[in-house]
Amino acid sequence: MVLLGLSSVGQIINFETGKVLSRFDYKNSSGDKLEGLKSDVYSNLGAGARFPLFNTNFHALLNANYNRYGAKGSDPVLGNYYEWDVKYIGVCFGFDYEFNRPEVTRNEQHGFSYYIRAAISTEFLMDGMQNLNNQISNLKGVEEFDRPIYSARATLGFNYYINKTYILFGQYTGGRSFLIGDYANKEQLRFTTHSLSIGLAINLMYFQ
Amino acid sequence: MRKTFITLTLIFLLVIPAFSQSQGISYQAVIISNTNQEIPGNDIAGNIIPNRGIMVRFSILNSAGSIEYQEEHATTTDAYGMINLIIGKGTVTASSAFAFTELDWNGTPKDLKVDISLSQSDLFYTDFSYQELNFIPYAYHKNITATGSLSVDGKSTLQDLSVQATTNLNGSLNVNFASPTVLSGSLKVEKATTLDSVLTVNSKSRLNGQVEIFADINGAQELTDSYPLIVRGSSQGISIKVDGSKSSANNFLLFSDDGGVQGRIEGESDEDVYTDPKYIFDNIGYTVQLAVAIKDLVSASTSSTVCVGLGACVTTPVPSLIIGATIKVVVQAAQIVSYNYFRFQNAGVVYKTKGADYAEYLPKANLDEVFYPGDIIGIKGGYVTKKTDDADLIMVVSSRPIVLGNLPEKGKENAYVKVAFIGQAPAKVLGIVNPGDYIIASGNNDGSGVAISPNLIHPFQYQKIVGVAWPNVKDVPFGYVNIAVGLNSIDVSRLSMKQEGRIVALETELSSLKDQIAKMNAALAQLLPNYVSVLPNIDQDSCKTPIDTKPVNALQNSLISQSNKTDEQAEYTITYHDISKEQILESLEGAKESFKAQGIDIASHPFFVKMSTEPGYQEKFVNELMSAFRKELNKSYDRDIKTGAKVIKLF
Repeated sequence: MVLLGLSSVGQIINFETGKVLSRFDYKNSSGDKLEGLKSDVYSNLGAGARFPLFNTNFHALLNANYNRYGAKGSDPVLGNYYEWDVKYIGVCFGFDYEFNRPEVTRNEQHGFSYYIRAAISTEFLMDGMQNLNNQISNLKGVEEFDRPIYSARATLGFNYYINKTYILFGQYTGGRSFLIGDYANKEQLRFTTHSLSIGLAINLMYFQ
Repeated sequence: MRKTFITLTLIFLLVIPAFSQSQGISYQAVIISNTNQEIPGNDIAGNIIPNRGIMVRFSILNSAGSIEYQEEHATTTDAYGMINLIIGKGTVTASSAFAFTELDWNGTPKDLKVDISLSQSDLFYTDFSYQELNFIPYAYHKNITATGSLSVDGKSTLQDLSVQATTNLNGSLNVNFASPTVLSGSLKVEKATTLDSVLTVNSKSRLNGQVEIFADINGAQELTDSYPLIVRGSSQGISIKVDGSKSSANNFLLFSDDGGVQGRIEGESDEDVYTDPKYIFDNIGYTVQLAVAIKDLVSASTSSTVCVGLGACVTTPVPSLIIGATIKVVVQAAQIVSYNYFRFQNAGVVYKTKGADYAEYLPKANLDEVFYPGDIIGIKGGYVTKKTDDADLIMVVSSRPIVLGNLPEKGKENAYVKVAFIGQAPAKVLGIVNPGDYIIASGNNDGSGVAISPNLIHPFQYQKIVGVAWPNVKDVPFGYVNIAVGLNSIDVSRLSMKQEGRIVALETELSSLKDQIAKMNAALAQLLPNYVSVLPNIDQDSCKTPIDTKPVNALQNSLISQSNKTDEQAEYTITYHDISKEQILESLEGAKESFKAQGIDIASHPFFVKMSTEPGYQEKFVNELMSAFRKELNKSYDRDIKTGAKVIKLF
């Protein structure tokens, strides 16, 4: 309802889906990294709204996201095997600037444009599972996963104006989480993500 | 970095006391970190520590907590975090009170403390484990399960030992504290065994080797406990079985003392039977009876006739008399065969010793009278006296009896005298003694005797005979002479046979004379009609007896034609007749009937069994009987020849 309300004044709503490759950057309390971790690829979903600012090529962005991250690895010396599979939901707020925006006032008009975007997001754990030497445990409430993660994201994408109402877009987004609070002598976990997604945007001003 | 370690998932404790190996306790452990490995999310607990050089320090503490032994090991965990060490082979520290091999595993609790340093250069020991040693051999009241062999060099104290398989004890075995030893199986002892106390065997015992009882006990002979071997608890005594058949070479018992062998009980051989005085006595008796029967048969088969004038006069004996006499011979022969058969069949054992006579205790007539071995004594009313004049029996005091019967009560031996009944016994004899002489009481009533030759002895001396001088006696003027006693009746029988022979000869001669006189009377009665009436006390019928007219006619002819012939020229003729085989066989049947009449079972009688079952025995018996008969007949024939009688053999 909020999005629909915004669309009536804000112009564009969008839906997107894609694949996200996540990497766990981990340091134990001694500052030692956990070697041998490998990234996993999972799907992600997103939906949100763009609002033109001052009738320029700048837009404000507000998205809701569902992301699934994972990693796995093993210790050849100790013989341990471990794997993580976590699902987050969160919101993302940012700004983008669209280049080469075509004039599309009629439906017969088409054209490409490009954009860059900077955003920040916060995500909360919906569900998570840890496999340790084939023993499965829930990560709900477990340290490193019991707090929201905050990430900075940078996006590079393109729009294809199908007509004046519908816009098909594709984008790459890189993100890295950062820690908020006192992590001295504590374990530290950061996520580095790389996602490719496509989506469909609808200009509500022309949507009938 | 903060890390400590906990011990270990496995500990093996083994003593390896083989001679080629040193003692020690095998210690195996896996080193596990007690710090969790940090990873995102849940951390990892229980990680091993692989391939790391560490120092391990073992301490063995006594129940008071004092260190008895301590050593250090420098080692490296393997890829699985495991270490394998032998407690007892490390570097002994200065804290050790004893060497490992000197530890006293006396059953009191001991603890093992293990410390670990994760650095071999920078030693910093942290507690690894502290636990009680509770396994073999340091266990106390713990079960031990070993699939291999167990060797113990030192002393072992076991409360309850059960061994399921063969057990070899290479040393001595002592069962102390008077503890019983129970063997449910058999016991085999290959060496000499000494039992210092009572041996009780509750079942049958079999001793396959020689058994020697050396009981150092003494005591009065009337006490049972004075004897090394006591057999009781059964209605029977001792059964002795020797290998092989009975023989004088097989002793059932041997009696010895410090002076050597004194006697033995052995199997009775045929030779023993032949020399048995009783056997000799019985056989002589039967033989005498057979000889008498044969003489009777000779008499029955002989007829005598007075022939006057020329030519031979022959009369035949009465057949029924011959058959009757032959039956008697057969019966006597059967008695001898039967006796010998049973005697040899029933031969048993014989007791042999240096003693030579069978004696009995007989009471003294006068308790003050003193008797010495060899004294010739008289028995009067069952009492012993040196007065032999009116004695019932003359006997001799035994010197070395084999068997001594009629044992008097204890303490009353002086009232009795050991008197020889049968066997050999020394006798006090005056004068010259030759083998075979009869020893009779001297009449001096001093225990002495004198010797009399068999040819010079008179019947009134028969009852004075003590015995016969043994063949090995030598001429001695005075002294003790070995004599055979108990055979008096045999000697008397022998003398009686002589008398019987004389009587038979006289009877034969008398019968011949009677016959001659009767025939002479008959002849004279025919020649002289009044002859009968003038004869006093004559049997009238005998003169009427028909006689062979031939000799009478011959006599008449002789009287008529040869009036110069004198009475001295009349001839006395004795005719000897043989007995036939058929007569003997007929007598056998008669003998059978005789035995049957006496209630004797012919089917089981040895003589008749032998007759019916042994081929050729009947023929042999008949031949021997005829041979004996003819031998006796010839002896009688020769004897008659010497008397001048006319003798005719009709066979």
